[in-house]
Order: sequence, then C-alpha cells, then structure tokens
Amino acid sequence: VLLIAASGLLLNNTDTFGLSARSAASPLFQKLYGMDPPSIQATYSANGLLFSAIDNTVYLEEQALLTETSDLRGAVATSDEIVIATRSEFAVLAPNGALVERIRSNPNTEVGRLGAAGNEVVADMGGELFVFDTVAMNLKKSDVREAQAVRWSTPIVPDADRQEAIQAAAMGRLLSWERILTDLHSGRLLPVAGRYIADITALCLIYLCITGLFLWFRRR
Amino acid sequence: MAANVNITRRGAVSALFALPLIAIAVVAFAGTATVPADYQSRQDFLRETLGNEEPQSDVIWMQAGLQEKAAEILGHPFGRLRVRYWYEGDRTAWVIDEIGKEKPITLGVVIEAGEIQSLRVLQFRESRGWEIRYPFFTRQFSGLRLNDTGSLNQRIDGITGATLSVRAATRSANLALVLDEHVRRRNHALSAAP
Repeated sequence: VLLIAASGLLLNNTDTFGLSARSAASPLFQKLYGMDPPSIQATYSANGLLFSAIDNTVYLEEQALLTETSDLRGAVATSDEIVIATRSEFAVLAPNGALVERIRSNPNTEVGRLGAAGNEVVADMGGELFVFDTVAMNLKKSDVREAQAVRWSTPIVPDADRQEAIQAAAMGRLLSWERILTDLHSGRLLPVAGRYIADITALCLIYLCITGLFLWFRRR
Repeated sequence: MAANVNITRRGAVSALFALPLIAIAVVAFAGTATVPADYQSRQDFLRETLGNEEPQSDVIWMQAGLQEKAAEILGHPFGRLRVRYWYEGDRTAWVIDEIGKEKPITLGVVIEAGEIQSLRVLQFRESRGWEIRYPFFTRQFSGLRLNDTGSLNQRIDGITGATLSVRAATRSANLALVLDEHVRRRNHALSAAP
C-alpha cells in the first residue's frame, strides 16, 4: 500500500522531479523488462564525429541530436559546417556538432543518399541529384553528374565500445524513471502477479474505506 | 425506526460487495487512445497563411541574449543556433517544435504587426492532448500580443487532460511573438541606418 501511495505521489509530480527525462537504464531493469540493447540502424562519420540512428532518433556520439525523425541517410562535412540527412529532413550543424537548424524536406520527396561535390552538399532524391543550400535550407536541381564523382557518405561500423555506449544512451531514453514508477504503481513491473497484486491492494483499500465508514456509521 | 436501520444496513452490505465489482469492471474496461497525426505540412500551412508554398524566408541567429530569453519562455534550452521564419509583407510565419510531455508538437504561428493572426497544430505526436488542434482552443491565440513583461497579454484557458499540450502551445506562441518582435526591431534598425 505504501509503495502504491508513494509511487502515485511521485507520478503526480513527474514534471517537478523531471522523472520522464531521467534515465533508469540499469542491468537490473533491463533484465526485468527483458530489453535487448536497441540495434544501431546506421552510423556515419563526418568531421570526426559519429552520427548513429536508433529507432526514430539520431545520436551525435551518445547524445540524442534529432528526435522523431526517420532513417539516417548520411553525414557530410563542408569547410565550415556538417550536414546530415534523414529520409525526410536535413540538419545543419556547426563543426563541433551544435545544431544550427533542421528542416523537413518536401513531404513528396525522400532523400536516398547524401554526399559532397567539392564544397557542395548533394542529395540523391529518387535518382535525381539536388544541391542542398545550407543557408536557404532548400534544394536546387544540380548540374553535378555522377561522373563528377560525388563523394557519397557511406555507413561505417563503430568499434564495440562505441556501439555499446551509443546503445546504452538509447536505452536510457527508452527507460525513464516515470516508466518504472508507472509500472510499479500499476503492478506491471512484475510480469504476471504484479497487476493482480496492485488490483487486490486497490480493492483492499476500497474495502477498508467502506468497512470503516460502515463501522463508524453503526457505532453512531 | 427498526425497519429504517435494517434498510440502511442492507444497503451498506450491498455496497460492500458492489463496489469491488465496479472497481474490477473499471480496471477491465479502462483504455487509452493514441492519436499521433500529421495535420498539415509546412508547405500547406505557408500557402494558406502567406499565400505561397515557398514564400521568402530569413533567419535569426540565436545570440546569447535571445537564447536566454527563449530558454526562460520554454523552460529548457532552445537547442538551436538559428531559427527560420517566412514572411510576406509585415506578416511572419513561424514553425516551432515544442515538447508537450515527451514528444515535440509542431505548431505554426502567423503574426502581423506584433499580433498573432492564427496558431495551428501541424503535427501532433503525443498520445494525449490532441484536442489543442481544434479551433475552440486555437482561436484563443488570435489577437494576442506581448505585454510589458514579454508574456502573452491574455490568459489561455486550458483543456482538461491536455494541460501539457496547452502549455506547449502557449509557450510556442509566446516565443514566436518574442522572435517576431526581434525581427521587427532588427528591420527597423536596418531601415533607420544611414
């Protein structure tokens, strides 16, 4: 009962305690939830920085950089910025990885590949090449031809330690303290019995309230 | 009198059995709705509000003072170095992503002469609070301006069950007005320069 009351109190104040942003990833909870480390869909490197896609988030090293996005298509560095592209958007970054601006591309077009021709950022969209203007944040039909050797951004495989660190960061985003407390409060933290224990506890509380009132009423 | 007591007792005993059953029914039938949705693309929003799918755009570089002001309004760092806006005459349009509870809500805000013309929800990704997309809520923003303290000059009425989404929309509207004011000051300074 105490556990349910305390978790309820904390859940009612998630914003105050920032519980939804606090990572609860630990081997114990990982095991309890039967969570495998999320797989890295693709990793690209630009300017010595690693950009990895896990689920719908792009990570810069171990930090979430772009959330609610789609498949990562590449990362290229020009002389004074980095550009990364997902299937549906472009993001311009400072050389140190600080996010300058992100913009969604036209909903009818998809980025296939991202590359660089000299200092120009080139996107292959459905077989047609476009130059991405990092100031206007728009695409213009390119005269660059494949023969002119666009250096297409290609995925790399980070070493095992880096992979593990990126996956741990992603796991932290998936498993917050709010999630743990919600499941503790509802009893779902324990696979089968938990929910029944929580339900029985709640019913007992209702029963105590009613019988308490009944006894009080009868004594009067 | 005795009959009355009996009836009351019988009622109380019935309640002892009925309430747990009601509780079980509530638990069994409880569910949550998830409605993540794309309501309008940026292009459609710009076409409808500025009359052009790709109107002229410009950017504001978020210098330290402006970053601080944005962080103060949002309650968290703005997270970008540059913010884009689109314009047609004195009318500016802003597309702002702001977190409701866990996921960003994309809002479009149109401002003219320091006054919000309209606010729209373009994309909603949270599982709750999508009611903020309806005109009964969004029309509250029309005509709002900044007051002397840099906040909205009128209170926005909330929606039960959508508190965090309402707050996100309110913060976004406030931020858009502050950014628009920055643009107007900058343009005024540029036009006044010899």
